[in-house]
Amino acid sequence: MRKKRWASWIGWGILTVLSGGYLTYALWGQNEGLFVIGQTSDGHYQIELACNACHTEPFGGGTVLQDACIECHGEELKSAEDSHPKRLFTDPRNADRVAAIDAKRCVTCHQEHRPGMTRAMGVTIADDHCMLCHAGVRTERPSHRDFPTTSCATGGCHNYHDNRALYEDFLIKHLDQAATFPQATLPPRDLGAVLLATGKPPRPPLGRAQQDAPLGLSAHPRLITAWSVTAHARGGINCTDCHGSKAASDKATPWQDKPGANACRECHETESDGFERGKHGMRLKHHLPPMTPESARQPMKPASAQKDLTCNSCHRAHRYDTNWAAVAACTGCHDDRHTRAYRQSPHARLWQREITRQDRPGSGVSCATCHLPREIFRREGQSLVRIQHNQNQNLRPNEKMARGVCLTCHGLGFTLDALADRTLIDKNFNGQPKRQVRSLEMAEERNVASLKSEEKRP
Amino acid sequence: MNLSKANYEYSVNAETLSRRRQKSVQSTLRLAHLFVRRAATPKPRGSDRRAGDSLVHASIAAAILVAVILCTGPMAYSESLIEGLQIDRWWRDGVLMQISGYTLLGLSAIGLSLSVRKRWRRLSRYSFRTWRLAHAVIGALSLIVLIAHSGLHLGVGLNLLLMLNYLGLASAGAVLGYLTATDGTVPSPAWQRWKQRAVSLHLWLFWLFPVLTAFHILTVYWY
Repeated sequence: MRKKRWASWIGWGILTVLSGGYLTYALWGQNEGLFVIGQTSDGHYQIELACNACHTEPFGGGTVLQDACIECHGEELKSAEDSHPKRLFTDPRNADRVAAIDAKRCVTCHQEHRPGMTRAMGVTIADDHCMLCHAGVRTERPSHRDFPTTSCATGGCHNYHDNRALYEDFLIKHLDQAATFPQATLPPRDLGAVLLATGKPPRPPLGRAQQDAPLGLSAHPRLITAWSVTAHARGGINCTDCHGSKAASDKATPWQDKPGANACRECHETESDGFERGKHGMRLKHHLPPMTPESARQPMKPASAQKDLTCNSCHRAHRYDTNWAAVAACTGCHDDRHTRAYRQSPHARLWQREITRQDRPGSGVSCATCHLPREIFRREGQSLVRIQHNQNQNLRPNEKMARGVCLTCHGLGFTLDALADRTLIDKNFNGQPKRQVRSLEMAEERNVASLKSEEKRP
Repeated sequence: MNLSKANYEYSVNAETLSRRRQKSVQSTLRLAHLFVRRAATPKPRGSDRRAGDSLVHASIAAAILVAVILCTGPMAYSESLIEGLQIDRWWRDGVLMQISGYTLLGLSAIGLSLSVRKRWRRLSRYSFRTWRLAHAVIGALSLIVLIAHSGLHLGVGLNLLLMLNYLGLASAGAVLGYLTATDGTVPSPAWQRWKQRAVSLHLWLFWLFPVLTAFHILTVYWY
């Protein structure tokens, strides 16, 4: 009996040590999936198994998580002129508000691995959270009295972070605009100017005969032809610039048949950074295998399920046709209602006219026009245009798209109404908005009232 | 293997299987019979009866709580931060989750003292019956704290394993508590066998509990 008891204790001890040992091994990065506490949100599921992307240090606590959020999203918040920055809540005058909700930390509103409480945009607190600080609005502004407390950010009126197209002065400035501007065009792309401004002078154009693929590695004539008509050949980028050295003895930069994303990054650094911040490329940033449409939570075409998402998925190797990348690359994988409706949309008709040269350059609207928009930035006093490759930057909430994209061609009133109309979005804007966001109307009323009261003053 | 040998082995296997099936049916019937006998047997009087009844009640409460945790879905999160009770803060707020988690750990540790009492003779204050009742009550209470800690979310991965382990432990404990409370009234070998099975299950399920709990707590701070 005594022997049996000892055997049980020893067996128990051995099994405890074994199971504890396995869990320690798993915790050390060998099977961290075991410790995931819940499904990851739509924004991060691609990198779910790169735990150290957010949990950069063990036992780091909230500070480490906050730093990780800012590391990836900080620049985005900065460019969006975040209307609730941290400094607002470190101001002692707002101490009572911080006591109600610790808005200094991203995780107060965006907790990960909590599928049951995750709302749109990865928000994990109730929609009436604005009321914790702005409850007075309902009494101070009669126009807001009847609005549900949950509608501040869900009705198309306000955006917690990116309010650039929604604040009152901006609305007043854009009252009574036409729905569509007749001669609207996008700013022209000029990568050559961007490269020049970043210290990469132009090279003389190259022809077929000047290709420098190594001897013995006879490049297929079709590839040479494809390359010879691209911007790469025109910009003097030869085979070895992307594929590595042609000398067999050169071990530092050996020839690679399929060069990776780093080859692209050499010249397209900001584009690569943007790509790796967006959903298409974020797995690459965290050294995971590339994203595939099969792993997406959006509807995708089964035929493209296994495609790897790298630079070459949209910019096909050697052919670098930006027109193909702007539409066909997207519709080749995406299979949601909005994408399927594109071909019948007025945007697509404009795009067809542009690429068939029936209309001026920049007059068409492709998928990339809205989702990988052209951004104007200034460098050494020069206005330059680059393509934002982080397709997530203006995706949700979609009012983020208003100022940078829609307002190039449409008035603000029409834009806000269209962006608030889910049915119209599904039809890829083929029709007129049926919803009406009252922001402009209310801003106008308030402006008129304020002007009248100023007039009455002695 | 020739055909006759295969046929022979098949018939032996079929026979064994049928015998086992018969035995299992018989043992289930015996258990049912024992329950009926227990109901018909006159109950003991005085403090023994009261302690026995309390153990039965605690066991039934634990069984009901386990069923609630397993069968009802996760409790919903509050739709408002300014209205309502917001009891979901218990399974949403990190500080409150730590409070309920450590309470659960504390209750489990206190519940373990029964095991110490069993093995350490010097700890003889109060009768073993009282210790056992306290163990059962603490077990049932810990399930209520578990509901507050988890919001009836079973979890995934390691947390799911820990939850299932805890619920298994509580279920085996509930059955054991019931059988223990009633074995004085039905002193039969079959009853004792069932009780022994429940004891073994309760002990073996406890084997994983410290490791899973340790890693559950460790990973909360690790990540």
